[in-house]
Amino acid sequence: MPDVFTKIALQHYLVVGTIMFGVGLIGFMCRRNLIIMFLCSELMFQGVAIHFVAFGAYWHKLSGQAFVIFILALAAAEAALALAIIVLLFRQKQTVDSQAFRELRG
Amino acid sequence: MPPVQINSQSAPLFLIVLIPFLGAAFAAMMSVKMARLWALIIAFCTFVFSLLIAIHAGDASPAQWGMDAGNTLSVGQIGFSVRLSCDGISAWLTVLTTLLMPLVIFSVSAKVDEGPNARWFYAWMLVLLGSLIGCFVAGDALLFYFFFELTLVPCLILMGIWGGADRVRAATKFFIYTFAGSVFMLIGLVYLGAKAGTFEISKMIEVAQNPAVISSCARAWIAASLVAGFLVKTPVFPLHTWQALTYSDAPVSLTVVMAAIMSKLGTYGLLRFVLPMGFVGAGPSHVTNWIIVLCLISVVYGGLIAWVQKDMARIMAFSSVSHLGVCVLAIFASSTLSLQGAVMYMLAHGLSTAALFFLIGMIHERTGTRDITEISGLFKSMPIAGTLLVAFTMASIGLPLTSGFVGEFLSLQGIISSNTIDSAFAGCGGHGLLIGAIASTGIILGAIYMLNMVAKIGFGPEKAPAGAVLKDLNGGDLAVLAPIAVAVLLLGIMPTPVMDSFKRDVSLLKAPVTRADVSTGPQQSEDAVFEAK
Amino acid sequence: MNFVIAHSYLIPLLPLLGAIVAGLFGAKVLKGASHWPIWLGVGAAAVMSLTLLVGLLGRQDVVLVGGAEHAAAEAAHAIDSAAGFPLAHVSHWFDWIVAGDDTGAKFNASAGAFIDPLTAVMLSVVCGIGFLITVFAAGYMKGEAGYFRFFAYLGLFIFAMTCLVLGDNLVMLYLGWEGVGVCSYLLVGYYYDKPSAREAAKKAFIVNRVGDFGFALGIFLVFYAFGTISYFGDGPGLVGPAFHKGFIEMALNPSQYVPIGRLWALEWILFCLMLGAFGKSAQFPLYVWLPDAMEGPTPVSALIHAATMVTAGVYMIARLSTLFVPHHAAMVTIAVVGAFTALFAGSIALKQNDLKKVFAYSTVSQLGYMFVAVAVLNPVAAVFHLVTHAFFKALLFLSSGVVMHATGGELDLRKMSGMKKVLPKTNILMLIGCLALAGFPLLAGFWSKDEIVSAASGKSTVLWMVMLLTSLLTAYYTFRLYFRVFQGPELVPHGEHGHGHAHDAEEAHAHADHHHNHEPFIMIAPLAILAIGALFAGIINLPFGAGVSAHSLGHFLSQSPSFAYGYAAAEQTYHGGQEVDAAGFGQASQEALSVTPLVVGGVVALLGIAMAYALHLQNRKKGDQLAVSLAPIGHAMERKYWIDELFQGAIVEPLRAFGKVFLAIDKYVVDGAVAMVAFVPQVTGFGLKLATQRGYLQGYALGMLMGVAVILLWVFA
Repeated sequence: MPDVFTKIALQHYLVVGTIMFGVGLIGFMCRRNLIIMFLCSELMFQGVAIHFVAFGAYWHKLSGQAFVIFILALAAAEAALALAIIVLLFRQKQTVDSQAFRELRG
Repeated sequence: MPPVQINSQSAPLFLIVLIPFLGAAFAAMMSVKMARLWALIIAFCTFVFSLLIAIHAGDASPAQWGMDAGNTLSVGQIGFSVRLSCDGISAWLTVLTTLLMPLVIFSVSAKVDEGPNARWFYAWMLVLLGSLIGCFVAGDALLFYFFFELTLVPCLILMGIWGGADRVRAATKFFIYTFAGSVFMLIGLVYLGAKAGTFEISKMIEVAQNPAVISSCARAWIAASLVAGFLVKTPVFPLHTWQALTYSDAPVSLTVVMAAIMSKLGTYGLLRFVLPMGFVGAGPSHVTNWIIVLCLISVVYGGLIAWVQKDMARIMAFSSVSHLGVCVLAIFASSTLSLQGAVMYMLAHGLSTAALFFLIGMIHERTGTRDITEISGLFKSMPIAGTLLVAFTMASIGLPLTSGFVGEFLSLQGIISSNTIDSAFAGCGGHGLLIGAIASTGIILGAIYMLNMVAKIGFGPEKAPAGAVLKDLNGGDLAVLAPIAVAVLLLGIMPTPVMDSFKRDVSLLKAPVTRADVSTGPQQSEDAVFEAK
Repeated sequence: MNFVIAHSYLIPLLPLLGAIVAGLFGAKVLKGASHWPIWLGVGAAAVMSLTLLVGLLGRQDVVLVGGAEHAAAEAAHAIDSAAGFPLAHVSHWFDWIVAGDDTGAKFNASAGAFIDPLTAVMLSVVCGIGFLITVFAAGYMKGEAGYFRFFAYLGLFIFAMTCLVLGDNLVMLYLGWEGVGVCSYLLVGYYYDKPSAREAAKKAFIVNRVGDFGFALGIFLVFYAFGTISYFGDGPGLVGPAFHKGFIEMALNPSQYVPIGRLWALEWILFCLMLGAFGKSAQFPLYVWLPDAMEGPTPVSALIHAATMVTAGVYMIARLSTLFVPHHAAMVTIAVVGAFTALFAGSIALKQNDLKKVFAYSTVSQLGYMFVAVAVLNPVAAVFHLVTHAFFKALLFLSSGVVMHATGGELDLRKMSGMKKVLPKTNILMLIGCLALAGFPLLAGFWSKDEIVSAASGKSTVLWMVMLLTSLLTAYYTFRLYFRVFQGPELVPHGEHGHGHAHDAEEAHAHADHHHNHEPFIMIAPLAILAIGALFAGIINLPFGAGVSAHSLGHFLSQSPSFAYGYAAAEQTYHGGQEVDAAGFGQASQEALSVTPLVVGGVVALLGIAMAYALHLQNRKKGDQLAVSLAPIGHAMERKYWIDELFQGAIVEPLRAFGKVFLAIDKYVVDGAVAMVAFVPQVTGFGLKLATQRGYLQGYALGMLMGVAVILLWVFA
């Protein structure tokens, strides 16, 4: 058994983070439901956060974790705003389909 | 960061710049009546200060920068510093600014006070005052640029809110046009500052004069960028098209400030930056030739258009194009005589234009129109206004014993006897007379369009649009015009003390003759022609 | 006299103070007494001027011979002799405009006076006649609206005119020059509610400005060439490094003072200054403003547009003759323009029907004589004619003012006749004036005009013939007017409008007055004094006699440095040849009296009068018939040869059209370019918006992704 299956190393975290980011990205591209799209963007966020933590542990530096805490705080704030906006949008058109709001392009 | 050092000599400079800004902050919190009074008091204080500074500017230390506030605030490696300095030229232009500003604030029409947010009007006026003074006394190129751009903000707001019918378009056009011009200027200044490692104007000038640091190609580009910024502000053909719209749609008080003072920022910049850096003015260089041609076009073109205009504000706008063409030409004639003339011209033009715009505003207020075809024969019911209109018209077209004469005559004299102008265009002399003659056509054209306007509105049978109230000027109006009239006469009868107070400063600004363009070789300064005989 | 020289600034200052007092307090306080400050101011100035004249005259006896000898010395050694001008004084008032480097050419326009015989003569004419006219005006303008305004302007005018003749440098001359122009503008436009007055005022000022443009260029070039604008610097003839030299002295020997590269300017100076002189003194083609300027009140026409202001150009050329004399082309130009104007304006005057217009064209014509005099190297004759002309032309204008006053503003000579019964005193005064103008033997105009004609005869036969022909025309049109208006059957018009303008309240009042006295003392007294001048002013420069009486004006003027240097320059130029008549500069005292020109002149004048008598008094029908048969020529004359229309069509309208074209260019091309510059980003932005901003969130995300991919490829591949 090569090391990669026995020991959890940096690469594993990176792979998980990257997969999460990729899933989020694909979801964001393919889905039109605003709530799903929002969830996907959160997924991408967390994927990146895993990278930060992993690198932080790898280099024995706290800055990675500090960044993640920032990101989490931001994500929480942003989630509150985004969901509120989505609710408001839903009230306008009784739908959360992103295509329905094309006129917002200006 | 070094601690802020203000020596006793520089304190007035800092005060005179700071007072209007602080005043503005307070004015914004007051009731309208208080704000008006407050703004008036603040503006008057700056006037007193500036007079004190101007009186001492002439006898300050013989260094180039009469009153140097020293390096008070440096930011990192850029070399930006809050440095104020003042010589005779700055001092008298500051006096012009602070003399007119209280009058402008005093004359603000009651309509503004009745409208909403009037206290902001006064607050922004004070901001404008502060930034104008800042421009004139800045000793650092970036600080100058900062104030230069800062003037646009109050203008934009005052024009956009309190302007005439087409105010939004006028404000937008004015802002973007002049802003675009100054961006070019910024590029030139930053390039030069980077080369020089400092933005202190006097040091930048030394570096700029050195051909080893600035190549002749770079020199031309810097010159073009600075000139572009300043000519837009002046304005000179073909960069003048923002002006007519702006002057006709800005509120009267702002028009006075823009026409009388802000246009001088352009000529002041040419005088302070472009000329001494030796970019133009020494020997035949393409930039000089272009400027000469543009100025000559401005004189004739502005004059002729002013003649066929119907709106008084537009007539004045084009007359400014015509007049300031001569002024810019005199700056580039680059002799002590022509520069003294140019500075006098700036002061004189500021005074007479301000007075005429005030009068136009007063007539507009009473008749509801500025169209010279709609009103006629106003002298009958408004004799005092008529007398003053004729008087300031005469000052504007350069009647001897008014300030306009001194400026115009010396400028033209300087242009004709200038070697720089004479030897422009491929180095062969003899163009001085031709160029001077074209510039002097302003003498005729000025009389034509100004008297045409005066004759149309003042003379002839009485006619005014319905609803016009033809009341003569009241005490308040006279209080606005009288100080200007006194200044016009004082500068016309006794210009010599004023000119002496900046004689040294202009002679230091003259384009360096030998170092500017090594290829043309040394040239005999025209002041030396007679010495040699 | 020493007081006057020491306090010469009072001469302009007092009328100015009078004007200020009248202007500030006239409307509310002084009202009908507004003439007092002006009377006092101008009167004091007149007393000072005459004191100066008498003083200098008294002093000249001592050095009567000196002047001529000095001039000869001048000619011989250029200019290294000591000061030889005891009658010339430079007095410095204050530094007006001083600018420029201390080391090189400093532009020094000091406010100061240069007093010499020429100044004294001019001052006396200006202030003396000015005072008489202000007295007359108090009667004439009585009850006018804006009475105080009129007198304030008059005071200002005298201020400017005295500055003009007193100044010791070109900028002072320019100050007066512009100042009188403005006063003329204000006074011509006195009845500002009349559209014709408005246009006339504007025209006067603008045409004058064309001249001023030339004059200003001339001054610039003088400074360019000589480095100074002072006539005589610290004083004429002073030598040494401590003294500043004036440019008139330098002009005698330009190569010594003018930088080599700038010698070309010398000739240009003359043509530029000439333009100024032609504008102010109403010479062809810049004369067009003067006839129109008759819209002003009559005292103004007399003072400004006949006696004083319009002679400023002659004064300037006489003052600067040293510069002009060496340049033949300039002198020929002046002669040609002067002679042509004299004849041309004289012919227009033949067919004018407005009293004042006739005299206006006559003024233009007489000014032409003065220019011819200067051009034929006889500036003394020019000044002589200037003085006599001031007397009789002021007299003529004021007399027509009396006519106007009596007829309620009617000036058309076809509508009146036989006025001598209504206006007996004016009849005599007018007759004297007309005789003097026509050159009737032994009157003032005879002597002065004759001097010019005979001087011209010495230079060119054509010039002489033109001058004689003009004399004939002058005599004819003058007496056409006189016979038509004052002689013949009585026909007195009663105009509806006083003075040609509507002031109903005063009108009634004025009419009431008329029936009592058409010739009030206050108006007749100044006229009587002028008439004495018109009769006897010739005495001052008779061409014969012994000692002081012969050429006394010439002797006096020869003490003026301007004339002495001018003569020296002429001698230098023509090397003492036949062409220079020393008497022309007053330098020669001995000259045989030549009777022939006098007789010819007198005969021509009498002939003209006789023709006028035949056609306009004895047999008016015949005159009218003659006019009909010569209708085409008469019509051209009546319409002033369409010169005004030509100006309008060839200059004014095209310029205005240029203005309109420029305005269109400004709007569409220049501002269009600006709009274009603003348009490009706008269009680009709009296009990009259509292309990229489509509103699909997924699309934006894809775009971002691709962007990142491209960057990654760029960096790593």
